[in-house]
Amino acid sequence: MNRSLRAGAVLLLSAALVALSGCTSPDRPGGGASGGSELACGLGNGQKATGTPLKVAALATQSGGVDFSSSPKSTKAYFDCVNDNGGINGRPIVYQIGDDALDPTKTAQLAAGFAADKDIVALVGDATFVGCDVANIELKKAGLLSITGVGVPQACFESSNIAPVNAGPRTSALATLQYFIRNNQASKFFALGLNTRGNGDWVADGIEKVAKAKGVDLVGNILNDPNERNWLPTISQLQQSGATSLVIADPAPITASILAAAEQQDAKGSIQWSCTASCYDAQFAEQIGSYWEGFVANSELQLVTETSGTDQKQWLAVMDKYAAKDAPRDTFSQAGYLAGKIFVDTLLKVSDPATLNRETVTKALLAIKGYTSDLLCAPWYYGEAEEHHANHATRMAKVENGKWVSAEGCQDVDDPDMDAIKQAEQSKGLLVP
Amino acid sequence: MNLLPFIVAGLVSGSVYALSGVGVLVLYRTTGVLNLAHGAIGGLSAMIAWQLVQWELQPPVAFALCVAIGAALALAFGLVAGPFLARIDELRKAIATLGFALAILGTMLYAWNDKARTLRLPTSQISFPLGGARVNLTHVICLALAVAVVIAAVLALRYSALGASMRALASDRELAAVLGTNVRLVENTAWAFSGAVAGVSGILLADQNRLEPAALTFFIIPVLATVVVGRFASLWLTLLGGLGIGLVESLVSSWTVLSAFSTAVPFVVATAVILASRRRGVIPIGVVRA
Repeated sequence: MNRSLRAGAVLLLSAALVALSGCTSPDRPGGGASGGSELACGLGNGQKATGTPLKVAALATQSGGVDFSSSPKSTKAYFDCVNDNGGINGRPIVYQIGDDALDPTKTAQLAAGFAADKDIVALVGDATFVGCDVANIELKKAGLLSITGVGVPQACFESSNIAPVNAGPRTSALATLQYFIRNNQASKFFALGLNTRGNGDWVADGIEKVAKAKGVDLVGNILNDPNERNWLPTISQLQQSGATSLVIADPAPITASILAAAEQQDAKGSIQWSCTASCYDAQFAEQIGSYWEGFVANSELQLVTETSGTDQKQWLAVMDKYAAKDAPRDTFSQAGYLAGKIFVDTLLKVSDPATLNRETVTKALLAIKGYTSDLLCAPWYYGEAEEHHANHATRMAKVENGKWVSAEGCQDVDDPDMDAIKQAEQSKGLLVP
Repeated sequence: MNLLPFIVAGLVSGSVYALSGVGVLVLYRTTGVLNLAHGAIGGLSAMIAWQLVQWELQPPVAFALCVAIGAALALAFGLVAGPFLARIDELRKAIATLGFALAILGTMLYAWNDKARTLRLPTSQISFPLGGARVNLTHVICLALAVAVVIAAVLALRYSALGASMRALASDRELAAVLGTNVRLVENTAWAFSGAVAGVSGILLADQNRLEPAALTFFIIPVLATVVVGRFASLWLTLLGGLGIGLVESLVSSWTVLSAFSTAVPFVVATAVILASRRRGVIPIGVVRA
């Protein structure tokens, strides 16, 4: 009997596996937007780079319950494309991704390891959810710079050696609030965020300051436990607040569960619901269902569904040709690609590739200013500063028939805490090449 | 504040606790294994169900297949690990299942990225207002299913030959084996039943709550509290415990001052039950296995 039971179990599992493998995956959103044949990254000469490798690394949270590897994955895809097209004037990029597993101690260890390896010339496409502050200490000591793909905590935007390409959760939430103000939908505003130090509290602080400055009645500014499963109290508070609009500044899975709970209570009402860029990806729009038609999100870069624009088309083509089929095609992927492209475009200007080392690369990166791309709304720059927050102009999107469509084009975001940064942009001429 | 939505939500989550609690309890009574991988098995079932629906398999077929996968996964673990688990003490048995849970969780995190996912049962689309609350058909099914499974389990244990064998094993495993009970068959049946219940619970929970591997894996925590209320012995007390914990948890969450502590309710209830039992000289696990 044991034998037959074992055989039965094996058969059942086999049947399940066959059922799984027999199913076909639907087409990926955005895929195939551009053929790989005209793909010309970097030098674009179609020749494999064979010179002395140039070592580049990235810090990313890939495991530990959060997977933020979308950014370095697209950076790697872009670097692979560059290496197939002449590299950095003949030198191929060797790219290494360190997973901090959502543990700041490990982020510090990885950063120290990268700093100690003198052959690593820069960090590009990073996306650590927890360790910008500890990483910056190591990077600063070693004179190593990071063009971060995705910065989330406050520290990622307030570090001397880290410059994110994305706008960050605070700017994203404020962009959404200001979109509602422009559309006369923010007479009573409600904000929901994550109760995490240096992230949720930073976003909530920005919401409070901007609401006060713009005369918005902030009827709720709540931070929830990341492990919360019961959204009924929050929905109840929202309904009682009389809010006309709200922004959810939580990761996409949490936002989706909040929306599912609200849908079960039929709590959408006349409130205009929205989220920050953390939920702006194609899968989110498909998953939330038709009940949420018109749901709004902020996009920190070009809309992922856009098919025009040189860099947008190249990003899609690079992902199709060089990334795994299931690698996300989201805002963070765009950010990783763009971080890689900024790095490559900058180093290609150095005429003698043999002179590229940590010192010369750092010097070249610090000098980046007025970098333009159709993915961005405004020029990006690095510059010597104790804080870096170049991306503060974003777009808005809304859900139509399970897909994101444009709701509003580029708009600069007001944040009282960024006045010094914006003044420096002008006084130092950082927005012009 | 209208408390009815909280009462409905509490009864629904409580009924899923109770349903899972029955699965955990039957397995525990039969094999002596406190299966800490129960939530993970349900989680994997729900994730596969989502994947199959994405691949355009008919939802009812996908859900049925995933309940079968839950049963097969638990049965496979029982078949492979059961003979070894039979020789070790209960604490180490539970730890072994914790390893199984972490292996399943790791597999889920590897197989699926952390993008947003929702699993909507067709029954959740059918809803009606009830005194300011919104009740959908899935809510009703959760409650009815928990009660039905408890009744079915009680009747099966009392009147079927397999149930008698399960009770014999629960009373004295060695003696039951000497008297000719097919221990392996009974244990494997319990594993499969428990796995199927985990699969159903996982799918219901994914619809009502969060479709996330970690959230579904750690769903075992309130379920364990439910089994503690059932004193590792009573199916009816497990049902009442599940409903009670769900209800109190939800009502506590409605009170803004205490809302953040609502997740502590299962621990508080379980601790209170253990302390009360000790005061009366009863140590629940010992009673069952003595």
